Amino acid sequence: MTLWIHAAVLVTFVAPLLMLMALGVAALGGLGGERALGAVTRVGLVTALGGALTALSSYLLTSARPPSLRVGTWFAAGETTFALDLAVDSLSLGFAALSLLICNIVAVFSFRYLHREPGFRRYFFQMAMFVVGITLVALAGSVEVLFVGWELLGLSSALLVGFFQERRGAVNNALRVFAVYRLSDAAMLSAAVLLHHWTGSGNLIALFSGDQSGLAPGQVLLIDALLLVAVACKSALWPFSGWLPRAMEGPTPSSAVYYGALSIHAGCFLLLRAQPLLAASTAATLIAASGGLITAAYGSLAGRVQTDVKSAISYATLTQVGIIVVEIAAGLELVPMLHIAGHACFRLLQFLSAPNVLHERHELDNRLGGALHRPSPTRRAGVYLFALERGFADALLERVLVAPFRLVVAKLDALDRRLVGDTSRARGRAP
Amino acid sequence: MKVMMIIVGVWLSALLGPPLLATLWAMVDDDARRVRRVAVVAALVACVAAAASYFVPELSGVRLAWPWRSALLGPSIVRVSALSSFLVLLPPVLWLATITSTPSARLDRLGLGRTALGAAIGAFAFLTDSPLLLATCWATSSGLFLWGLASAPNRRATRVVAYYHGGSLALLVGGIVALAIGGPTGSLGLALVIAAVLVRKGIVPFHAWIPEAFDQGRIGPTVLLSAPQLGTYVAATLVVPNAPEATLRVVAILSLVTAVYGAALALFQADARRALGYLFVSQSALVLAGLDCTSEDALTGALVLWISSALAFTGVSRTVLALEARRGRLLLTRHHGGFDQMPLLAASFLLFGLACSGFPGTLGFIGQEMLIDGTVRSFPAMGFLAVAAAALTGLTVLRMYFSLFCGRPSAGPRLRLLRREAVVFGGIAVLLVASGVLPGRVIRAGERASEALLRARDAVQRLSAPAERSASD
Repeated sequence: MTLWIHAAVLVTFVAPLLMLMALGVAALGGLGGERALGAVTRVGLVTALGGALTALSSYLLTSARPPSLRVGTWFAAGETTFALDLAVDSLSLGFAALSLLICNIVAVFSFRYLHREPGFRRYFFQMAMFVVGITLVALAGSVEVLFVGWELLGLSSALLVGFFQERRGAVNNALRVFAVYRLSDAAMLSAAVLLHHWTGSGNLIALFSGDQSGLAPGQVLLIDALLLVAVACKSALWPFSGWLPRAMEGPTPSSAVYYGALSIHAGCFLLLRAQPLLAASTAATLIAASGGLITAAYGSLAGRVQTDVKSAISYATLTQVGIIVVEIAAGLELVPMLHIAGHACFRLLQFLSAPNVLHERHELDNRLGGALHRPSPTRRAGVYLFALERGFADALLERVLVAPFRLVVAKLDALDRRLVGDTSRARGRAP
Repeated sequence: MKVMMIIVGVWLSALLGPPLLATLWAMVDDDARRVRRVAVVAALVACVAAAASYFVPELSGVRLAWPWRSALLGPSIVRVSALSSFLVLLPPVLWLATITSTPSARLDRLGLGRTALGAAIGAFAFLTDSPLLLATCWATSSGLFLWGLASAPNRRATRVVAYYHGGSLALLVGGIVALAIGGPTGSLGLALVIAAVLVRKGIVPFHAWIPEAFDQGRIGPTVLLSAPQLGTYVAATLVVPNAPEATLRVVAILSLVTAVYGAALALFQADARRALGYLFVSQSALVLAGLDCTSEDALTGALVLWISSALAFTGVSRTVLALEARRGRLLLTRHHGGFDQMPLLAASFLLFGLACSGFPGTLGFIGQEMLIDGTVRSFPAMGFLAVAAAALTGLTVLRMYFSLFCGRPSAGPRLRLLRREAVVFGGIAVLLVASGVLPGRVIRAGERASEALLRARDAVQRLSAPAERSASD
């Protein structure tokens, strides 16, 4: 049975990779029509989903617990080893199956939604990048595999936000989203490197199963803090929530799969995997719980005043994500997983049906029930302004992080120019 | 033995002869396009010869010694070490990429001659461990660089580069002479050589000339003469074996700070050329940082990154030049659009840029992963500067991509890549991705080179330890 499960996991791992390569060649070479690309995508996704469902059902049916799967070693030199380890447990296989099921649904929807769209090939290539990323995040048995998946999610997300490349707003927002994701990647890479440095191994399975014997309490706290930053950026927890409405610039199917269903829950999933590590530090647990609570309240408040349907749904999603984080911090295991699965499917449905609703009503805002027209107590309390400004989250980050950084860089740039005798002003204004 | 000498002679002739012949051809032929055709053939021959050092094991370890023994002359005229075998492919490959993708309107025969000579000097520099010959290569490549800059309309860049390169050459010559004298002046010599390397590599605070050269000069020759990183090779040959660990640590920390500095300033530049200049500062500093960590992982990572960043950065700069040839000077404060008109150029730019930032699936990822692991092991706190540099570089690349190719409706006809441009970009992309997905051979070569460097360092440190003990007694 172990061999059977491992074979199925291997299929789940390899099929999206092959699909990515095929779609990459098609996108670069301008090859293949919509039918051919659709066939490649369908075969890749259905095969991967079949593998994940087979592995999950076999795992649940057998009493033996198969070990993790080592696909091989990507590279090794000195003390650095990049092991391609895949986790084989109910959590990983369950999330992989859920992710691939949702990707299948979104792919079928996208074939029609993007019919005759000039960027059809590019869209499916970037979606394939996402599928590989989310599969790696779900199945990661080593911190390096997790990091690769994490990076693929970030890049594909930013590129899809800027999918309508001729729109200036879309690409500006994509850059904003990518900036937050880079922070997430940096935090994740730092955590990965520290884990390697302190434990001598990048094995997530041992670490996330509660074996932190090699780590001092301060080290656990630092790794937890870095993981929390990575998760907060990826799942748009407060104060990193400002990018979420900006990310709605992409095509609706990609918004559905990223910000309704999967990408936004990837952080929660990681936190759930890392729960034993989180529980080992009371301070980190408290930070996670507070972050979740604040995010839930913030999402609920800001979501009530949004005037476009996708932003309203995204803030509603954020509220639930905050609650999921609180559940994880509270030490629950099954409840957050079920919450993630149910919530992802529900939001997927909402996002995918949003264009139809808009089309039916011939309008782009969400004044569907008229609730916003009634006088609200929040208005009297000034909370309305807070919600309307989306909690000033962007302004806060701009003032605390970006502006001082930009100021220092501008001064250094001016100094460099003076050093070489360039007294002219810069040709343009820095962004 | 005689057969071996013949093989080595043929190999050296095939490696260094074609670029020298191309230089001579450029002097006598007025037709720049014909000179380019000759140079492309010569570069191909040189590439094949350089690649032979990977596949013909007999070539490794070949040594052509000086007839006289002198500290200034060093041990050998030519020595094919593990490091040489690892690096010697770079100059001919970059030369081939540069001349093939240069827009026809910007061709000039003297420029082609300079680039050919630069490639020959770059390849030879990687094959010698003689301080005198290294200084000669250093001086010649600086001279070629300045000669190329002299044709630029704005003389400020020429002046600035002349100051910095002249200063670094003076420091290097002084350092080599002091090292040759030995004794107490040896330490002074080492300090001077390190200072020369810092200036030549543009390590903060000696970095200001690089963005200026990119801004005002011609990018092609600038990249061709800078990307192989002669300064880093001099550091590997003269500094790493001889310098105390504390000194190497200071150089590594300065390099890490420079990597972040360059990446941060690149992010906020308003001009594509200056952004490229700062990106180069950041990339080349990362390589030096790994070289000075003395941990085998970091060293191997730095060597892999050396190859990867040279290829990826050449790719990025060539794509920007191709775009400049179609649109003129490029500002990053506005969106230029046109992705639909030139999707392959846009995809190439993005791929090369992501390779610079260490994105998975490219050789840059392998190098950065090992480098970061190694630097954190050597300097737990400062090593994270490498992570910050990678994050900022990725952001800069995406900002440039959006600005140069997106944000505006495409208008006008589809601007296809020329066939020679497509071949160059495709070739670099294949090299970066293939060696990123299957990095075994590159890593093994890098490991051999780093082991050889560390062995050389151990040998020197063992020799100097008794001398220091007796001096203190």
